[in-house]
Amino acid sequence: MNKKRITGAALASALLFAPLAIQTSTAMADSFYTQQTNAERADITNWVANTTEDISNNISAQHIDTSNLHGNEYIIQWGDTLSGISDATGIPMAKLAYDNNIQNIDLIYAGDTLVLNRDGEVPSDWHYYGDGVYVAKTKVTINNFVDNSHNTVNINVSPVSHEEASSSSKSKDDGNEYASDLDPDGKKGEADSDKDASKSSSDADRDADTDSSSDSKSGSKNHHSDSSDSKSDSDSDSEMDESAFSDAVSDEVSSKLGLDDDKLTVDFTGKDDDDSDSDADSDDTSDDSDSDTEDVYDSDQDVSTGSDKLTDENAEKLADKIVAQLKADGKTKDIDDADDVELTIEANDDDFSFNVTLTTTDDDSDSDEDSNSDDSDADTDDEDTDSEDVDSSSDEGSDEDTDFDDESEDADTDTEDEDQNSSSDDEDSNNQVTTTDDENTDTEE
Amino acid sequence: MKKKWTVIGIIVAVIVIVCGGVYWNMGHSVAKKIPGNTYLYQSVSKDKTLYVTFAKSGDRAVVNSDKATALKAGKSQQDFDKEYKAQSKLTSWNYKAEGGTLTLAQETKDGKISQWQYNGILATSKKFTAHSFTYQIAKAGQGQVKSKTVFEKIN
Repeated sequence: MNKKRITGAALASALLFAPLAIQTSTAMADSFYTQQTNAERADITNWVANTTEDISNNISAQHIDTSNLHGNEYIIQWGDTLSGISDATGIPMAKLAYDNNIQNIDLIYAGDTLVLNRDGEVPSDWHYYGDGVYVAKTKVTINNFVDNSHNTVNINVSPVSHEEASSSSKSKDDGNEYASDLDPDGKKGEADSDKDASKSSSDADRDADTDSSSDSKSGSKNHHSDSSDSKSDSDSDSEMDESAFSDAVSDEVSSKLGLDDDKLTVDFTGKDDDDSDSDADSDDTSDDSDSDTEDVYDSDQDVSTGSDKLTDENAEKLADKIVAQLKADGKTKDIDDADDVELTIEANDDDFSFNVTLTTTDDDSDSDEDSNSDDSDADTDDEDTDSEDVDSSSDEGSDEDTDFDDESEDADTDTEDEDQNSSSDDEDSNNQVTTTDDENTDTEE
Repeated sequence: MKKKWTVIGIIVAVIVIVCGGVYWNMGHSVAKKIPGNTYLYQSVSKDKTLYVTFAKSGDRAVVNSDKATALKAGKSQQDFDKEYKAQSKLTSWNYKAEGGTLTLAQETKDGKISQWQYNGILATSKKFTAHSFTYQIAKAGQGQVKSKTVFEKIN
């Protein structure tokens, strides 16, 4: 009898305290964030660039001697910028970027570890982009709400016009506007950020800013998008058929890019369709000799919305992601310039992949337009590979074009993507758009 | 005896009215007090500072962690314009003050807007104190913090 009671009590206690224990262990994961309160994390000072002097003090506070930097590890603080760190340490930005595998030097995260090393040189073929002037971002969502897509705080006295603010916040271009890029759902962000923070930043996971193509650095970003699959998607609407879904995406993309309705055609291939492959990489039709067709990307780009349901909401999400990526990659101008735009979307398991084919018709060729418009497979990727492949070293060349799209502010700074190499092994790691779901749980306190 | 209580009552009423008036004024005067001034803001954790210079007219603000820059911006309209322009290459800051509320909004080059709204402000000629702040930070989070924050006038 006694034994039973004890067992029962133990079981009850375990059930009662298990969540607490789990939370504690998660919370302890990343000391940088967990040592702070929401108030500290949300403080306005974190979003204003530190002076060089401030950064020097931060470095000194971590017992790093700036005159003797040989692989020291510095934990990036709020308000730090890479250019500021460069000034404070005397290490050129290129060297910092190279040592830490940072492609986009405007995208660094507070709490990440930065290797400071004066030794060694930067290979001439190492490329990075950005100015290094943006302050470190957060890897966790600072949030008091369980679901911050529907519970918004009230900023009732705002210098920003309502439209502007709402267009900014509703531009789910990058998913949830008020969630960290690396934190599609709060808990995951913490866990991952822990990994990142605890490891030397020369590791592959600094990929948040790195791209892509190059070898090993594809890490946590993709991670996040993958792991976000597990999130329950909140698509409550009913599913639609493929053509309706395709229309919905088309409408959204057209309106977001400001295209005429008849300029954009969407070719959607569902998961179950077999012809998807042939569609995606189909070869050119030679009959449109008077028009140039060009794929915007050499390889299909993966986009994750966290759900593969053919719902209105998912169509909107997908359109947002696609538009965000096109904007981030600086493709919108090409799209504007084209006469016809064909968006090919293919549903994978829980993701979608897309590519855009642009058709530019020559003045004298009237007939071609017709043939193109319905010819969804008329993409030739040959053209761009010929003409734009400048780099002979294919691996290195590819990095600069495949930036992470989640930070659209960087979009302007980079690069023409045209010279993307089509080395197929790289393509998947590029341009993964993380799914930012609406279920941002609040950060631990 | 009755007269005495009447006098006391009147005195109390006057005190209450005066204090209430002062308090009400402090709670509604931030918009009048800040234009053209530079304030030092200390972070919630007290380990970081920033400086905010509010435009004499309009809704612009220069927000910087460098004191010299902030003070320079407060010198003249021309200096303010210059500093604001320099700052705007990266981010532009605007503000709006109304009643007991001040909101600072940051817009980055790519159009991402973050806002910090300071609520329940009591303003004196030397400083103003907010009793809480509400934040909406792009790519970071949103919520409300019930911590006291102080902006101290430094010019």
